[in-house]
Amino acid sequence: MDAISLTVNGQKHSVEVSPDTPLLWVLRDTLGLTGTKFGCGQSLCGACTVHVDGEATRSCTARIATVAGRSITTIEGLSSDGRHPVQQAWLSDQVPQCGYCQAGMIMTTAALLAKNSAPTDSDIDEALGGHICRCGTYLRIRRAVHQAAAKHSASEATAPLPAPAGAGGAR
Amino acid sequence: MKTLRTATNTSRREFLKSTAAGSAGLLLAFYLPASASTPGAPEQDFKPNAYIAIDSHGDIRLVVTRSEMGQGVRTALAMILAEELGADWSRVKIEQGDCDPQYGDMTTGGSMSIRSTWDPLRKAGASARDMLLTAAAQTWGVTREECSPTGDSVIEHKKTGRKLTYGQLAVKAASVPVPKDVPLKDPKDYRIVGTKRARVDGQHIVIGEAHYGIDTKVPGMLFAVVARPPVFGGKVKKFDATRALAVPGVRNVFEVPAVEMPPLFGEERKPDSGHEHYLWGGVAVVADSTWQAIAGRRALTIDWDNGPGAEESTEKQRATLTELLKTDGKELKKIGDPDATISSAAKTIEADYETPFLAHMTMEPVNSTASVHDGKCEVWAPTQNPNGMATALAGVLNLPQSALTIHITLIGGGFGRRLCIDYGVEAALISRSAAAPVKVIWTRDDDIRHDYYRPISHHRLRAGLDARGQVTSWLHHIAAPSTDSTFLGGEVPDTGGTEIAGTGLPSGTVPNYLLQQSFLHTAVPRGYWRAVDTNWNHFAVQCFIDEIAAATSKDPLALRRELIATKEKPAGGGDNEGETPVNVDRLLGVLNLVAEKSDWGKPLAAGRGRGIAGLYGFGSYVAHVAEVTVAKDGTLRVDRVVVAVDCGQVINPDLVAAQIEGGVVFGLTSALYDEITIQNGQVQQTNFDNYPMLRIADMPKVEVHLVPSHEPPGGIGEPGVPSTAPAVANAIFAATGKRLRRLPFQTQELAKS
Repeated sequence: MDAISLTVNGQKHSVEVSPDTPLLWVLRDTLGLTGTKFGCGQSLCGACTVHVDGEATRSCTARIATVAGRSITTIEGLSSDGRHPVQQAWLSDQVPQCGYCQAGMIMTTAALLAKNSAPTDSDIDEALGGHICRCGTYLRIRRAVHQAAAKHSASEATAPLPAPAGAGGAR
Repeated sequence: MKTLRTATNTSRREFLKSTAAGSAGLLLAFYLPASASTPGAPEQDFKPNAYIAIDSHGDIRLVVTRSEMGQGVRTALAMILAEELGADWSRVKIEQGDCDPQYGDMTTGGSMSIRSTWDPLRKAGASARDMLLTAAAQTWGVTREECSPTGDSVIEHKKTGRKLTYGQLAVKAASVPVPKDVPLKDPKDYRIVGTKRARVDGQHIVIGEAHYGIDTKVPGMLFAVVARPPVFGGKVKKFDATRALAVPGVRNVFEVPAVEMPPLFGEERKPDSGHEHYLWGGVAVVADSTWQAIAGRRALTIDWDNGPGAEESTEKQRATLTELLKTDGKELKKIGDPDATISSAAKTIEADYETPFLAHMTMEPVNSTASVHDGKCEVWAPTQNPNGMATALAGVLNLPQSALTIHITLIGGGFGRRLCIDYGVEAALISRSAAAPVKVIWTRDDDIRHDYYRPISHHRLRAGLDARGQVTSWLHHIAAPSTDSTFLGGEVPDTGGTEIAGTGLPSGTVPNYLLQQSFLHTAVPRGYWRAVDTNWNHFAVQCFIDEIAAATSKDPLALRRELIATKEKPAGGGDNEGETPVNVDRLLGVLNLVAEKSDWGKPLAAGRGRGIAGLYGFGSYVAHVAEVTVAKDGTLRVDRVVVAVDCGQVINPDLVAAQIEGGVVFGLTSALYDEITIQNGQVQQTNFDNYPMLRIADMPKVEVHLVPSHEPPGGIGEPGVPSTAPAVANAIFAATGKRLRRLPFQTQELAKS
């Protein structure tokens, strides 16, 4: 096993894993970044989506050797303060139910909006068509994407609904 | 942890069944111990009961004792507590309680969380508020009557305008005796209950810091996957681990025994019941990372003893179910003389329906982490059933319950899968053998091929009509494997969602009635799948009502009104244990509301149609109208689903709407796509490519309308599911004149030749 270098959320890492190891398991097991989720292992559900050089990528089938030297962003690194317009829209519209698929949804949406600041419904269908939400939050996801797009353009945050300040045990 | 076996546990299983919907008389023993002992908490904290702790800074900790799996229970239960406590919602912190006898039964299922905690949590909150009020009156030397809570964690003395915060009162309140029978708030004074509040865990979810079971990290933890018998009931004959052990990072390979497990909910197991509840067994591969464990498993050579289950196939099961419908089954309910009246009926209507085995397919695959050492066992589990898991762990590991700690993690989708306890027991056995903390991860094919499946079922419905077109007899014959017998053995009927289980239709208007079930015996394990037997029985019942309407040239809504136009009990009497008789006014209310909101009766273009279905279940009244378009080539599109909901007192309308939206998607996915099939005793599906889910492009418009009510809260996690598939089937008939009586819909039958 040779050392493989990669940059994750701006930090350089060198990992010693078999080159066929999917990026997903390097993120989760080696680097301890568990925000990226395992759902299917075959690029069928989108739960594991991260950005590789800005492109939405399924980390469960991206071999670590193929992302060596590249810049990876995970949900933990999407924003420094959790106030990326997509994250804010997701909160404002109260999108998540179980929430397990949402990191992948948010990462794909952020990549979409970086390229297309005003996506149509069919743009959204195409971008998020590879994602599954078993809880069925699709209506809210679509609303939140549009809202994030509007906010992205206007660059102003909408206040989310009132939630208690500390929900430490709810993690 | 002491044993949780109490008299109430015999009825726990019943609560998960729709038949037990909503009876206050059977509410679980949810008692209020004197005080929660939180290790390390400052002594001056005010801890009036196990659910509330207030420190001198005014921070309020509320403990939630149900499992969060997306239904918003951590938010909703805390809202109930905070409401009666008069707490400032912005200063509340929510904690997930570990499995602990002081919380009583912690099962999360049967849409029971709100129903079983509504009274005790309100009382807990009110009792604490009353003690704070007494403390304020004592501090000021005034009467209690002159003091009142403001609702912002403050007690006020109105005459003088003096105020004391809950934080300032905490120390004194701790010495006030716990009062009895504190009056609860009038609903008109609610400030939190009934309002839209954000999920308490939303922020953590969107930044990737919400920790699910699969995210558990324990120092020194290893990772494992298990090769389980591909055929249900199969066993390891022998295995060769040489190549697996050569995979870098693989530490250990060993057999996991197929140990016998107790029933899920503390029931007594009947002797000689043919009980089948065993752990899967198999071969575990333990490694330094998940991927190394997966690679190691691929390198295993295993010789399986498949056992008799290998003879099974879906084709044979379907043929058997068809045969079973030809002779009488076990009689579950009989009223009047259904056989004689149907023989002499002026007109008879008959239809057969069919539903398949289904998997849960939670987005977070099944997993658990365990650490077993020195006579102790600690488990981190995404579980809906911590009490059942504790019982099983104690038995299988031969440890006293006091040696167990079960942490209930956030759950990436439950839907009933995590009422089963297999994966927690498996992880503990693996940790014990590996002599290390181990996280056992199930890959997606493990998850779908070793589930506890929603049962396959066939139905024959027959109705006899008199000369005026009135239904005089109704006969429903179910052929299906028993769900409960997976855990209990025997033949336990699946009556949820049938006419006798209080769905409300037909209700008292049909004088002659018969329900029977014939049982398919299979090695395929069955389990509780969102809305349980209600979703498959109700599909048949609601479609059949539509068939009667068509045969008598009646509007499907008008026929439903006729069938429930009586104040009497439903056909079966509504007198099953724990069953609340249907309130026909509330059932009519949601049917009328959904009709109004969906433009029922307004003409639609050719190829389009509306269908209706509605029921009472899980303590709530729900009706759906689906609107579909069927293209000439048979392509089906569900355009719009309108849902009317009367779930009594709403805690958080946004959570209710979300559960109904999700329930529609769950129902649609099953109606349009999914089927678990068996070949040579093995599940043929492996992942989302051959067990698809509804995706965003096919999401219909969903509108949810709530009936304002101060009736006791009903369940909401499950009731959004069962009416979905029959409403769509009935809409397809309205659009095309064709009946699809099998799930998932065989839409090729809709193509115009």
